[in-house]
Amino acid sequence: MPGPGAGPGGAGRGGRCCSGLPGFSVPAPAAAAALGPPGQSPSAMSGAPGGRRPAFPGLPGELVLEEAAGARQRCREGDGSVPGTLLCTNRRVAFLPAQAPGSHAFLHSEYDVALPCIRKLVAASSFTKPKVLTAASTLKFIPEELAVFCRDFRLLRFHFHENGLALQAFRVANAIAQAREAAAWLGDAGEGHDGWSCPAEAPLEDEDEEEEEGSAATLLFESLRDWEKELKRLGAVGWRVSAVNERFDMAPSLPQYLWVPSGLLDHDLKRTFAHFEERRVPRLCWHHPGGGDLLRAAGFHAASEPGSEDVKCLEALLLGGRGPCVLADTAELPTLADIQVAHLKLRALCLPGAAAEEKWLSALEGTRWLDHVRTCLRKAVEVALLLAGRRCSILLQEPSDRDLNCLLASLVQLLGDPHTRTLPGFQSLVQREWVAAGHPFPHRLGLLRCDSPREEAPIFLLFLDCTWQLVRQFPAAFGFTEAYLLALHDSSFAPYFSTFLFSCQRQQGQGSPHRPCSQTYTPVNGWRDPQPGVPRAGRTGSPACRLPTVWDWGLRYSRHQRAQFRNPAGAAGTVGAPDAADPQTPSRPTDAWPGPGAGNVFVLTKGTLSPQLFPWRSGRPPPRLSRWAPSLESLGERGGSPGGNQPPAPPPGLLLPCAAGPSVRLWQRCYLRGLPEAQRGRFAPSPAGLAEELTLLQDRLSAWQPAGPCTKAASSPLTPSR
Amino acid sequence: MIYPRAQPPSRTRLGAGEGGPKKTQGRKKKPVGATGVGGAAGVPYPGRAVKVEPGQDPAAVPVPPPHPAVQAAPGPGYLKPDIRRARSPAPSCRPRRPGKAVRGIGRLQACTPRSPACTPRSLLAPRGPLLAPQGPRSHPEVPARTLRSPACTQRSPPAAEPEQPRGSRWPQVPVPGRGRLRRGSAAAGTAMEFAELIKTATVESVLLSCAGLPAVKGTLCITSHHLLLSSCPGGDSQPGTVELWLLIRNVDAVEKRVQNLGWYQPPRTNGSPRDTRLAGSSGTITLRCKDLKVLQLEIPGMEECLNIASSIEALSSVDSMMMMYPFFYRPQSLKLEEGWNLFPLERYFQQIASQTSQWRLSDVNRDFTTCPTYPPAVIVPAAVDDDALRKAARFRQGGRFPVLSYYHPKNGTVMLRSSQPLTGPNRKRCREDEMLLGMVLDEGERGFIIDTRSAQAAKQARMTGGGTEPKSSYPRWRRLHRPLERGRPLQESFIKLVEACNDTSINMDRWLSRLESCRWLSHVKAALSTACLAAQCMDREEASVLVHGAEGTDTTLLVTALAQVILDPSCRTLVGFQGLLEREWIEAGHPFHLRCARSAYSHARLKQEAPLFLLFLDCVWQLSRQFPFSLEFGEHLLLTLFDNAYASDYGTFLCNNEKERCLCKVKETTHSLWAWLNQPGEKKKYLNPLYSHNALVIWPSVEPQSIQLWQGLFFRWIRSSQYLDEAWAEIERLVEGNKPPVKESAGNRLSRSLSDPAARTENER
Repeated sequence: MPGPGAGPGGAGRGGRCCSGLPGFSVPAPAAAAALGPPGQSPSAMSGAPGGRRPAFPGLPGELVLEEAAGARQRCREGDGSVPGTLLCTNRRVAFLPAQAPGSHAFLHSEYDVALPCIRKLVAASSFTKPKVLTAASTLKFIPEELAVFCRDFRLLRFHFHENGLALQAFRVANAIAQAREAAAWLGDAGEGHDGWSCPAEAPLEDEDEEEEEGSAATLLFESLRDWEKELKRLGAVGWRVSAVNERFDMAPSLPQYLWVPSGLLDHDLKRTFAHFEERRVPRLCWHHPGGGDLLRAAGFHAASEPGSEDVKCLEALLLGGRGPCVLADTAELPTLADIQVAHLKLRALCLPGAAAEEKWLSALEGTRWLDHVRTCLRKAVEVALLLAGRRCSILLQEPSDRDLNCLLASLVQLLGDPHTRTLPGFQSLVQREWVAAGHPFPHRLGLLRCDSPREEAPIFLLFLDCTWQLVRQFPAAFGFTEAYLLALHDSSFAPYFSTFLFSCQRQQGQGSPHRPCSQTYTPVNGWRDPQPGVPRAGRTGSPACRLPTVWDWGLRYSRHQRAQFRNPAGAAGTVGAPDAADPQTPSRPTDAWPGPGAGNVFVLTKGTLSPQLFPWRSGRPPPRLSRWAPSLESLGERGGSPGGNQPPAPPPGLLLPCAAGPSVRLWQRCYLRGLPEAQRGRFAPSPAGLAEELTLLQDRLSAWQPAGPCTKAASSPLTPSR
Repeated sequence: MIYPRAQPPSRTRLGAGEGGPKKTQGRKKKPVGATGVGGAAGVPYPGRAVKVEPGQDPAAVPVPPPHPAVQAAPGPGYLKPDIRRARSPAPSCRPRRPGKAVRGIGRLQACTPRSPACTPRSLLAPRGPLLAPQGPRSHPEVPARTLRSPACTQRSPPAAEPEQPRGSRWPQVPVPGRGRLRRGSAAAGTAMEFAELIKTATVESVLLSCAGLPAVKGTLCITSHHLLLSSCPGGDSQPGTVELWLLIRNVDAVEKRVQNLGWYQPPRTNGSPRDTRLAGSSGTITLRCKDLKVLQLEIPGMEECLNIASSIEALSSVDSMMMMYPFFYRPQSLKLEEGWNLFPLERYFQQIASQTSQWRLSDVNRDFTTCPTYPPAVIVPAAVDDDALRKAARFRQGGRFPVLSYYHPKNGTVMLRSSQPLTGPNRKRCREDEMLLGMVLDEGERGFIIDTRSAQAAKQARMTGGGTEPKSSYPRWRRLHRPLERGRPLQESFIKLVEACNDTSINMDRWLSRLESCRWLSHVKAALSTACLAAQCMDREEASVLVHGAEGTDTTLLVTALAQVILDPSCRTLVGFQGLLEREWIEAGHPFHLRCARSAYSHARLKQEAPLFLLFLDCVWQLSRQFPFSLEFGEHLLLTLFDNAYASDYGTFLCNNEKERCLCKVKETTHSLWAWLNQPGEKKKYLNPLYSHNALVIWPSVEPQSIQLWQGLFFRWIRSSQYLDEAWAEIERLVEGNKPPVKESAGNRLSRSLSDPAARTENER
């Protein structure tokens, strides 16, 4: 009865979405074992006390520390729950539904959370107030409910029945608190990603070909061939792959192979390293079909004073007769600290009850996260427009070249290159501009325990958010979906993959000999270790010890989920490929350059270009020739004021997202996952989906009934997998 | 080009209504490339130019002579030449203050004795209740707004309108068209009246610009109902392209800016003063439309600019019902009577009657005497006779006694709606009203009264004669108060939101807090959660519900209509939704004419405007976004409904209630919007390609995080939705591609296998 106390939100809260069919959550543990996939006996896992649950397909070296059978995981919708077993291992907290829907994906994304990904653990009971569990402060009461707050904005809630679960619940809660402390990944600097290495497992039988194709097309940029292939695709004449850093001796944080001007010999190239921070020299990121080049580099080394030879090499690298060079620094972008603060605020806001109902929007604004998204988008649009309009080279310059440059370089390519908007293209982009380029993922994502918290800044998540904004604004231009970005978002916290576990290529292959044969990654070998079952310490780093990449989506995501990664409406490239035949769009002819020919250096600040000198050039800066007039800020900001001037039509193939306030939205499906109420409808199953589910269940039931002695009608919890 | 219409008004016998400005257009020597007044053969869509037959000179369009019936009418004729000459040559540049001016007219009229000569005029434009339907209670001092612009108010008293009858709420008004007056005469008569208002009919080389589209230059032409701009891209010999086809009723505000500074220098230059004027003085008119579009016209010549502006202003504020465009609009593809009887209440009643005999269809209101704002037929408890209904009606404001709004087939509970009871300070009671409500509940059942005012406001209403049902008199009904905003605060919230959305300043940094301060989204949230509450009472608590606020014509209808969309799958189909609108908004007496008279841009003093209907559409949009598969129609339908509620070619949203529609013969002399919407070619545009039947109740999330700004509406003319549209087209194509195997079978399977009662009833229907 809706009493007068039910507030305006009460009506919705009491309501249940159409998925919450009451008859569906009857537990049937007996049926579960029988319905599980064949070949898995319940006692397959060592160290598992009690065997009345489906097999737990653990990672190699994974030990089950505690478990509580008969726990229930609360569904998203708030009032449903799934029965199953809660496990605490030395790697993760996992929940085994009594009837695993897709039990082949043994790292099922829905049901487990890696220990480092747990941000907060709260135990609640109806007798005492909720308590935050840490290794130091253990539980003093019998928990009825355990809430796991994850770094990836998920909130898992486990509920324990009163009857006879008291001890198990108590033990599992404490075990999680302890294990979380113990399991922190010590980082690439330390030796011990002991527990995390090379799982050995039988290859998945039912990998479908289509998926293999998808990840095979992903270039990992660990081999020369990948770099050459991609350079060829870009059609960047005048550039070559240089192996000057093959042994990581020139710049430890750079990839082995660099794209440099063809005219520059490796011998000359070597002269330039010293003049950049962290020896990260300018190198090509992307070549616009119209002739423009996108380069990235670290800041000029403050103390370096290049000699005349060096200057010649430097200028050959930067200018190389390709037209003027524009320096685009990251001063306008938020700092790492800004991003981290905004992210923390956002995370706090997206918890239940964090903001008063009426104040939600202003509280959201107060986090400034959306501001940062807008700033990044705007800057990327500026650079992309400049690149598309004029034949020039743009040098993205960030002091470290390892954070915001990654973001900017990849965003510009997303805007300008239709290939990167396909799924393999996007994966290759992340692989090249983030993984190979040496973005310090473990530090930035805060996966290291003893790390100084100041290094944490989720730049990569900011990039995913920016990408999501693009996907939302241009739904037909992308070959992947929001679900894919969400999976990537979550996977960045899961330390089972090599992709986000290292700070640079050198660490990834530390000590390993050069592997000329390793081309694109073949998932056939997925998790298989040549020496199965031998966990190797990471530092020995034999090539045998390879974690899978995150791009093997089949490991964590069911086929059904993976099917949702692809955007059926996204005929990638239909928005228009850059027209190579007509390099200069008529609106911005090349000859509009203010300066007298090549050799100019400009700096791009706030949408305007002003002449600049390289720091090693002494003398007076040239007089300001002109400002680059078309106000970039207004472009895409508004669709033209009434009666005002029209924004020029975007060059073909270029996405120009709108970065104005109303157009940049909160990625609700990601950030609001902890608020089940706000998610209603977003995950609402379609009747067709429910019907499919129902027939599936009926089929299973009919298949099982003749064999099984049990006459009780088995029903299943709804798979909360959509 | 800007105004998306599918049906160009075709020239019919009644085309004179369009070709109105006979006199002023006659001044023009050169044929306009194409006025498209009535001869437009094509359909101007945005982005697609339409060729118009060349050589259609409006000056050559003959205006049919007045109908013999009118000529034969007594009196000196309906248009005196001296009246036309009395046009003020100098229109004021100030924004008009209609309220003031109108009040002036009222005073003039009040002292004017009714003369027999005026009778035909009153026939042509029946005023009385149509012009001031709010009655003396709300605005006793504003009797009417005439169709004349303030410049015309200087006329001598004899030319003024017949006296506005005062005191009685529903004065005896000659009903138009009763034998003596026919369509043709009204058209001819109004054409002349409109001609008065048009000071300059055509202007050459006007530059039209609009957000998101390239500016075009062309010839501007004002007709009695439309503003047309046709360009001749290929020179004068080529057929023109209609770039703009704007219903003048759609104009919400006219802003003018004249640039003639610096041109009063002595004519020492070589050019003649006339050239200087031509080259220099110009004006810009900004038209802010009710559908939130903003257009800019740059008009050479200051005088023309001012004339055009004041003509548009005058034409757009014509408030006489019979002057509305739907009475003149005659598309060839539709028949007049089509669509008016698509959703009879009888059919709805039959559905109920097939399941229960507790309800009956009463025609107690067949002559609109019991309740002037109810339709002739209402559904009431079978056990209550008409006499009791009449008595109960006297106990409710405006006679809106409790009637059935929705029957929930799943469990037989009902939703009723009414207005507030007139308990007053003395706590009056009404046995019949108590009995009526008592009859709704079975033995031992309890019901809920959802009052859309706060408890405080409801209590205060007692001072002015209203109030709520006291617990002592209605012991089995429990009251719940859910305050919903209406009236002025709602309109102001709308205005603020539109202002915020149109703010093109670079600094959109504070967008979210600005959005929050508009409070529009909290109104959406409140409406949705109240509707959820009503639905919850019925579906979960299995209790019947009575919804009312004060008058029972605004928030009440919002809640009952929304609750039905949530509960009833048949309301979520395209046809069912139209039926719902017809039943719960149009026939139920939402005063569309008053509430949608002005939109968010108007500078006019707010009177009774309130975007209740827009709020409803927004809530439905929220539902469609949260349940993308469950509504058969898409955003496009909601946008079309919004446009048509504020300015329309069709008569569906005209007038305030069925009684007025009857008086104006809306159903006989205008076309129905539904007839147009349900044409096969048209209908396709409104369907949601992802729809699959969902027999369940859709419970929306009403958390603030879930309520989104309806960008498709508020940014429709500001930001291009090209990419989203492309994606939708692609989705549609995909769905079309694999429709038969996937969607249908799944849907059928669901209906079969889910043992949901709602599903079963749905199939039985």
